[in-house]
Amino acid sequence: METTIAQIQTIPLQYYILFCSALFSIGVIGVLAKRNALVIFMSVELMLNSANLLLTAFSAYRNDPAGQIFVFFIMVVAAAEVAIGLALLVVVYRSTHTIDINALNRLKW
Amino acid sequence: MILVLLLILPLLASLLLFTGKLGKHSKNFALVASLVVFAISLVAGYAFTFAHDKILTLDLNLKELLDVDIILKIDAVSLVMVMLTTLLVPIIIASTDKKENRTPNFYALIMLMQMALIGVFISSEMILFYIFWELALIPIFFITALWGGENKKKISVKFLIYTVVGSFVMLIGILYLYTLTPAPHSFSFESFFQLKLPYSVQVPVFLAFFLAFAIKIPLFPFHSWQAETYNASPVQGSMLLAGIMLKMGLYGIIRFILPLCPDVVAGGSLIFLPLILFGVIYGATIAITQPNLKKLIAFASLSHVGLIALGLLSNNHYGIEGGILQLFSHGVNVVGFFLCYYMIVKRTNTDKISDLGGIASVAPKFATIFLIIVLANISLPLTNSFVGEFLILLGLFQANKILAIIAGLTIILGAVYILKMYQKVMYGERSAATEKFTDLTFSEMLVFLPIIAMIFLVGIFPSFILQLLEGAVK
Amino acid sequence: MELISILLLVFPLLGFLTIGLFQKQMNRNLSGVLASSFIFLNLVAAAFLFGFVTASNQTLEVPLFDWIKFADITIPFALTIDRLSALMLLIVNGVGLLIHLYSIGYMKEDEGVNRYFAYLNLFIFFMLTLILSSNYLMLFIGWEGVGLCSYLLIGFWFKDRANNDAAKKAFIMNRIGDLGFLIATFILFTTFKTLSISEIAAKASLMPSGDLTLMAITLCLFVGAVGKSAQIPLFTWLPDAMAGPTPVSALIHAATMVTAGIYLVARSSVMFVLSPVTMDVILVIGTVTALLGGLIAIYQNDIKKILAYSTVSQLGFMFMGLGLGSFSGAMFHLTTHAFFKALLFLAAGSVIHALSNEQDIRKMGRLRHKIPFTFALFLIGAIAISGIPPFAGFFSKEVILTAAFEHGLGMGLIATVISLLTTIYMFRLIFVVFFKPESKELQANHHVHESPKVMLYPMAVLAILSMIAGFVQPPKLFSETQGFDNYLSPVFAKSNSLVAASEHALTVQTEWMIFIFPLLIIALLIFLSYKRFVNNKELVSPTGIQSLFAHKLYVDEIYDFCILKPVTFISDIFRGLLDQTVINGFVNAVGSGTLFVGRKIRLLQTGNVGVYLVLMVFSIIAILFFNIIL
Repeated sequence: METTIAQIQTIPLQYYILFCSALFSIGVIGVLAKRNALVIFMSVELMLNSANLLLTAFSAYRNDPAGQIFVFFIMVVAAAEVAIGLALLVVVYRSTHTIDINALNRLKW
Repeated sequence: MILVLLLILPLLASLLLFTGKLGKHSKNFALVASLVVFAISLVAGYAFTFAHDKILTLDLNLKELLDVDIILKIDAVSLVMVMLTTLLVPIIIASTDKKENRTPNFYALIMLMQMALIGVFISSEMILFYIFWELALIPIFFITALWGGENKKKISVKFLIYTVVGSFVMLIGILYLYTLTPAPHSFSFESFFQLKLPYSVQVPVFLAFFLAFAIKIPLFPFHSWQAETYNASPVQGSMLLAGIMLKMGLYGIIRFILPLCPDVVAGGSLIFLPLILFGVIYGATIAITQPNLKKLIAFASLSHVGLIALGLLSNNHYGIEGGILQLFSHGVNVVGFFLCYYMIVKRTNTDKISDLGGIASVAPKFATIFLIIVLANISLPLTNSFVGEFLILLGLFQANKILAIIAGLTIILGAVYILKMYQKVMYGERSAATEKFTDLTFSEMLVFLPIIAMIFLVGIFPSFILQLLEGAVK
Repeated sequence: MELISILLLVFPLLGFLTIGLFQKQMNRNLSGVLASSFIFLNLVAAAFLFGFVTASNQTLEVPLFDWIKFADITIPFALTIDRLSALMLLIVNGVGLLIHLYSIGYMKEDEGVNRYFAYLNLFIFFMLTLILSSNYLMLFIGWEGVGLCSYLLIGFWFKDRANNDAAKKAFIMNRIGDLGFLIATFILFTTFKTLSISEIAAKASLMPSGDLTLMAITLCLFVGAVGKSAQIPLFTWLPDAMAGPTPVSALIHAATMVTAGIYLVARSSVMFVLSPVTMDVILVIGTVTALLGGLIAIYQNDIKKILAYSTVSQLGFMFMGLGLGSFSGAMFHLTTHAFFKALLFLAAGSVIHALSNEQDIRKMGRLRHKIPFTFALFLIGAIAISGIPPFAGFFSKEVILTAAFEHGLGMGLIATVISLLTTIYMFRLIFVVFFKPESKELQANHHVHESPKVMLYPMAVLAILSMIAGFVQPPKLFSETQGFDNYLSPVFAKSNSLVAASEHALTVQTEWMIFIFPLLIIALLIFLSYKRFVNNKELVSPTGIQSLFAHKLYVDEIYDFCILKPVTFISDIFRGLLDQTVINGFVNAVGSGTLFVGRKIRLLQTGNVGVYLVLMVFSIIAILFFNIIL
């Protein structure tokens, strides 16, 4: 354990933060700018994973296992969310034959 | 026990009527039911005068179950209001004409209204009060929206929203007061009245409650819903509105503002009394050139209830007792006025004053009755409203002499608009619309009878009401 | 005794109810007889009470029941009968009975005759309530009640718009005065904690003269009297009130209702005596009214209008008497005036009846041959009102004139001039109607007939009274028996004791001058009028200042311009501009404003998921930002 932590700590913390922020931003932009529903899902996963990564990094630096435990929570939630999301996507595809989110525009005023 | 009966009976009657099984007999059934309620209220009054502590209370301790108590209480003021309600509702039901062919729902709504109104007057617990307060709006909304005249939907919605805005502000005030009661918090009137609020707290409480009541009564400048709603509503609806629902607002002043905010009433009188006074004169002045008879009654009513409010807020017992007496008298008088209006409209199909004329030459009985009601409206001595008006003006005079003198102008203005209307409608030559005016039938005269009786009885023997109120006013 | 006084109120009320409720069914001839019988019973009762009060010099108090009673306010229904009320009772019931009898003949043809007698009885009821009440609020019931009855009776022939307008005007002007009365009751109650007349008199007599509260009270009471007794500025309703049937004019406007104002002041004499400012005000207003009324009367052409303005003038004269402190003098003139003015009105009614409803004196003439009885009665009335001895008017006017001269020479001269005006307009009337050569219209009319006996007999009674009633109080010159003064002295004792003795006691020479001089001028005036009006063929239309008076000083037009038009204007503004546009507009604007905002906000719902996502992200960033930074 200590060796893993020591190895993780060889990279300064700022790099981890920067890296995860970058990943997160890519995810956000992906969610906002893409029209393909599957790509949006992937971007959401990307965001979640970036958060996971950051949590583990902090857990290593602070010697607090709580961070890693929380990572498991997040993974569970991600899995559940993907399951439901994909199910919804399948239903939508069956009615509209497309996975372009701009096709779902009937709830306007 | 009686108190619960007073509430349950109208509710049951209304539910029965809603089922529509009664068909043609709806009107008679409603009439009988309301007369039974009237009888019960007489019994309650009888019991009240012999109760030791002058109060009838019913306290259902449902605190554990529902987290609120249900407390019903009648004291002298509530008794007067309840009697007014139970007296007027049978008259209102009896006045509907067979030819109109109202569905049973109409009578059901009236009975529901009666229940809500009685509930407002006898509940002794804030949430219950508020529930009944709001509940009273619903039947009148439907009555106006379904059986009204032109523009009924729009006007009834406007009326509803306007009133609810006021009630909402009042709700905030209620909740605020709730937080001020000592823990465990309670919504009962008792606990509210035991709060001795400092002046800075009294002001927002006063404003919150007063806004709701000012809209309901109505007082200038929150009165714009009144004329239109009276105009659009069917006559029975207007009678309910003007005769009783208005009084809820005035009752609210007596019940809440006077005990809870005495310092504001005493100190702030120079601010709101002139405003109300302006409303009194304003209503009377507009009535002088108002061409529509129903709106004339509305503005006359605006003038009169403003005067009552002035009496109630004048901070001495003459004004308050006079105000309560006048509440009762005004209810009777305005219903009488609308009844006369109904008689005219039924036969001539017009309510423009300029279209009418010369009715007295063909309908002397109606002319006499109309004259009596008209004179009662302008407080001729020996009619019921004179005593109330005298006491109100006396009370106002003791509060502020100049305001009382200006308020006295209403007796002159009142004579002007009423006599002008009466002359145009009843005297002179007959017009095209009134050619075939038939005099009152026996059944119609019967409906007028209790009103005329009350006008003179209360005018000549007001003491039985006044002495009843003595203790409560203290 | 108590029962008798209660009966005084019960009988007319009973009459009103029976005749009123059975209007349609009752026989037309029955109603008049029934109504008159009730008043006759009343007269008998009044006579009993009069005898009792005179003999025993007591005041009878009859409490009935409590009207308003709670906390610290108790206002009962109770009756008080002292000499003053007993006197008024006799006048009201006596003259009232005579007028009821007269009306049986006058209103015989009218289809509303039952309604008429019901209203007449109701009127007597309210007037008696006014006279008999023991407190100011109950008096106010009678006060407004007689106003109501005059509304009903002036507008009796309601098909005609002018009658209704006159009735409405009377009621509203009365109400303006009533406001003054009400304010007086408020001050009274606030100051004395009671409204009982006797208690207030007792308490007030302890207050200093010139006290401001008393001044306010008396001024307000006087405002009420001004409205009811048609003084300036609230007098224009009285001439218009001639629209009603002539017996109504006789009863209400000559003999009873308008005298209510004078009665009120006399009743409250204690308070008035202690307010010299108010007394001066009363004097001034009374004088001006008397002068103007007389001047206007000279130039009128309608027989009833002349008498109406004459009433205004005579009432002013009575108020002068009150203002000079001569309360019993005013009451004396009230009594004699009741007799001869009622006589004059009834006689005028007789003339009108004879000429089939003609009222313009320019269309009359030479009637003394055609209707001799009416002429004789009319002449007696005219002589009485002009103050020619030995008829009653002379005696009562003397008392007031003497009081005027005691006040000062100027006042006395003005009062004398006012008296002489009476001669001018009355004899103008007599000469034009009865002596002048006939007008063209009259010559065409062949149906001039004398009135039936049922109309003549009451007038005869009034004529006799007008002739002898004065002898109870001859001028001090001739006799020491001041019957009237003595009679009322217990009533006014307290108030008289509070006033200092008058400054100028008159010398005997002055008194003789007051007696002789006006008589000479009266004779001269009669002679001049005869020449002027009988010999000229046509009555010239007045020009210049005279035209001003002929048009009653344009007072009605002034009131219309200054009061009616502004009020109507304000009413229209309130209704149209303020209510519709501003207030209603504001409320509706709230509603439409809400709708407008809603319409704009719903544009956010584009239905585009991408937009929603963007909004969501930005909102989250904003929330986090504000939470961390702030």
